[in-house]
Amino acid sequence: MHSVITNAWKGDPYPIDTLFIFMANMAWNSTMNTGEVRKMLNDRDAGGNHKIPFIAVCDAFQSEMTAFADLVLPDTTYLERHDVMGMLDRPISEFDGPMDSVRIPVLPPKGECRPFQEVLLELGSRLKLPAFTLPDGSRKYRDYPDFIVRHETEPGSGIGFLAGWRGADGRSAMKGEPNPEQWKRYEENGCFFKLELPRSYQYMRNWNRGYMEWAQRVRIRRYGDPILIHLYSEVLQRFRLAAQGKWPGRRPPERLAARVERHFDPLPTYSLPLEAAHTDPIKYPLAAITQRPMAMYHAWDSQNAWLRQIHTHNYLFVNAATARAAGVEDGGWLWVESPWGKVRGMCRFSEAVEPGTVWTWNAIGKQPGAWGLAPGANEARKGFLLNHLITDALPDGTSNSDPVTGQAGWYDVRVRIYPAEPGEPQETFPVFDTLPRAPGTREAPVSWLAYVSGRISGR
Amino acid sequence: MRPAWSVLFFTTLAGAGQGLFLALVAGDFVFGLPTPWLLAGAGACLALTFAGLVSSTFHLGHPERGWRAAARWRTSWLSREVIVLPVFLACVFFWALGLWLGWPERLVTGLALLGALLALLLYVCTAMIYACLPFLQEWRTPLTVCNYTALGLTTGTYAAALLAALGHPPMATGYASAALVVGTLAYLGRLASLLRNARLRPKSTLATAIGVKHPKIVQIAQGSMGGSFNTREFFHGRPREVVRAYRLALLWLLQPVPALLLLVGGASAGVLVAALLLHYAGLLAERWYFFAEARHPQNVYYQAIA
Amino acid sequence: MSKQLALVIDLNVCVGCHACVTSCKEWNTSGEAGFLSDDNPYGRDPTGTFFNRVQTFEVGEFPDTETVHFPKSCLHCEDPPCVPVCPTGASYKRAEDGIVLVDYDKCIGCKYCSWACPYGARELDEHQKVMKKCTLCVDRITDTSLAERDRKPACVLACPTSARLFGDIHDPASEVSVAIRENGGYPLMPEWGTHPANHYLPRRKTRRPLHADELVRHDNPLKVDGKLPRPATSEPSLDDVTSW
Repeated sequence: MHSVITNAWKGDPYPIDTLFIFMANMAWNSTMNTGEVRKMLNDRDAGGNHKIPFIAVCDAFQSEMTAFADLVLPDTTYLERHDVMGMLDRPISEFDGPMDSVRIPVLPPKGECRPFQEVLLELGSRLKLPAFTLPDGSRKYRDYPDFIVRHETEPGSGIGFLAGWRGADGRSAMKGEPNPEQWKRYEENGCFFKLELPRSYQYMRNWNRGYMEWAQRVRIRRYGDPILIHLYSEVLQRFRLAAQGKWPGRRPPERLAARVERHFDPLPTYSLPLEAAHTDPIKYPLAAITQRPMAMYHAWDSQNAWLRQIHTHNYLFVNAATARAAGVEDGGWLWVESPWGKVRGMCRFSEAVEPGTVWTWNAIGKQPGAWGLAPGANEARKGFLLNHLITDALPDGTSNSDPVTGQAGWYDVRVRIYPAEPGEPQETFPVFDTLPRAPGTREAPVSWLAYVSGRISGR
Repeated sequence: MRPAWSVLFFTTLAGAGQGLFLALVAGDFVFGLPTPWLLAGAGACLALTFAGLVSSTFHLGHPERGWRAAARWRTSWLSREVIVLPVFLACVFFWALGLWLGWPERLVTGLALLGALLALLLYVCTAMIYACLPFLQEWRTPLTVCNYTALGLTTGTYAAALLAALGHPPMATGYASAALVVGTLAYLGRLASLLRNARLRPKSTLATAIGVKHPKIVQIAQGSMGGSFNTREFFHGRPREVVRAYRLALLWLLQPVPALLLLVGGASAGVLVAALLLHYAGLLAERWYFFAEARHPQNVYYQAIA
Repeated sequence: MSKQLALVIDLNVCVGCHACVTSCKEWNTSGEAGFLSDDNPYGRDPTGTFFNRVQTFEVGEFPDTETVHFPKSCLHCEDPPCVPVCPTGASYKRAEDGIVLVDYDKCIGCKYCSWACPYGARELDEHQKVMKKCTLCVDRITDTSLAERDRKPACVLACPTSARLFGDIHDPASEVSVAIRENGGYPLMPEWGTHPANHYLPRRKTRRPLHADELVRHDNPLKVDGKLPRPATSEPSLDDVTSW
């Protein structure tokens, strides 16, 4: 997933004509190797044609990614659309039974915004994709709510997005025919559904026979066998045997066989991140990691006027002893360098970080002019991304990800830190060109504002 | 604390007006001064105090509601000041009117005494606004009241000496001598408060501020990164060199330089103009430093951003 | 005894998510207190009026460090120094429930009350030019049209970890009084005698002392598998002696 731009640019496994991005800031904080990826998005082949010919981006905000789009599809916010957090998303639920929930719009969409789900459904229908088309070639689903109600994982499976009020009479749960009244029932119930299990099913569910039976009947599980932690994993061993050519059936491609054989160990084991093999641990002694600030955890719009007062630029948190040893001052400008790139930012001493690790808040830094912020905003002048330091591919051409799970190696990078020279500009590096003002947006951001009962005053 | 120029001009100008009135009344009591000169002095006194009053309104978010400030005189020194100031102004005005229209001497004398009492009371009110706050340790001392009174008297006496040099020369030397004596006493009082404040140790620390018993507590984030009312109002935000410059101006211009000028140059109008201006510059520096030096306990909550 | 409403904030539970900060602003900018303005909302150094802020401190040195997230708002002191200094009476403490409030129509914006607060709990709104501060959501907790469970300050309802408790600290049986009494609740800056109504609960460690003998098994693990060696049947036994 994290190599999508690189692969599209390389044409791996085949060239594409359209790159379709939904709410992923792949030109900024959602990608590794940001600087190179930005070049790939604009790169041309020998014939002068774009290597990625057409980019469509759907987003609710004017991000760094929308700036690369040939077509921007303005998305709605969650207040303006239907949504489901249904069974197919494995919702969190409660200890005493499964739960799922929906959103029902409370505001009409603004301007030309359309919910992204509706856009996809429309595209699928117009392209006559089988899942969205009836045998006679006509459109199968009217709109997204209709799709949610009538979609089944297989024809007649009775398993759909939502677990509540299934069946023609609306009396089944978990499994049952589509119910045209399902949205109404959810709305009447405060937009959620909960099925409380019998008491005897509520505990020790990994080997509760009654629960297993029930789970198998409602098709939460395929098998009714107890769930045990495998200290010796037969599944991992099968991969290893396949790589060794000792297992009938599918085998890993030749170039990856050694990697699979080595890392798919049936017993618990520890190994260094793959990146460590390509990094000099003496030159780059520190591990660098990031996290999202809690205040913005699920806020895509961190340019929000209130949230950005809490985190308007970020610091690199460094153990005071580590920082002093590197000659970096508290609050001073420093360089953070990995084998793959370097960034300039500000340092904050911390006693709560282990001396061999440095960290910072993720996705605070922004490109000048993006997100409707003034080009001089702190995010653009002082905020920085560690993404520039992280490579998406290792020098041997393999993906920088965990060899077993495929999880992108966001936390594997090793860095060194050193103070910025006194004469250097007191601002972040790298800085990209200021984005031009998007059509239809204000000339200059408001100088002050205040929200009062749904209205905005200010200038 | 951040020194607000509206307050600096208010306290120094009104203080000068009160001091001038006290100097006029004292001179008149002892030597009996000519009425036209006293009237001119009363005019200057009213002008100074009124200018201070106007300046003070710039400190208010809602000056049009300023009249409400007279409501809480039982608890608030600010309210008391707001009441005493116009009464003092009225008293000076009627004293001058009485002098001009030749009202009975007992009435005029009564007004002069009442005015003097109000002038002193106004010093106390102004100073107590600062001295009554228990946790601004730099201000919480009788020296604050002494200094506001003595410094106001000094400025007033310098002004009286200048007015005498211009309109009633026989009194110039007398007033100038008084300015030397009063000013030196005021200066010593101010030095005493500087020495006292240099030895203060803040009662509030991060340990009491957040209630954690540990000698090493460091702030990482204050909840906002672009500043807040708390960072704007309670920090002067000026570099150390600027603070030192204000302190030097306080130490030299408040009294030593003007006094030296008088001693060397004598009580001529030119010398007195220079002495008054230098002293007033020193007084503004003194008032600036008075605020900048005060460390508000809330500041321990606003030390770092991240 | 009269009522004294207050917040009790559990620093052992607060994770520093700022949900109380934004929910406070959201409720109060549209509430009785009037708007809470923001300057440079999308420009350099954004700044605005907030009633509540979450700060972060580090206590100690690595590796013996604690990160303390510290929510700070008006403490509704029982002897509020900000009230008597107000020249207009705009700043007042309600007799019926002890909430310290500002009458925005009387406030002249002289900032004196903010000087008189050692905690920095008051903020002047730059566009209304009046002093603002936490009202304990007075317009919400007294709104009888709301369900009983919703008649709490917005910050309390928003807190995902229930680090904020709300109630009458003069009622010894109230949840807040019990929390203060049983969990070491303390006031901030007690040195100034302001007697804050809001209290904080300290960081607490749950320790389970483990004695060395608890680490040793008393039973022989071999017994479980039936592997404990048995004496030979030829060895003497008691029933030889007693079987006559």
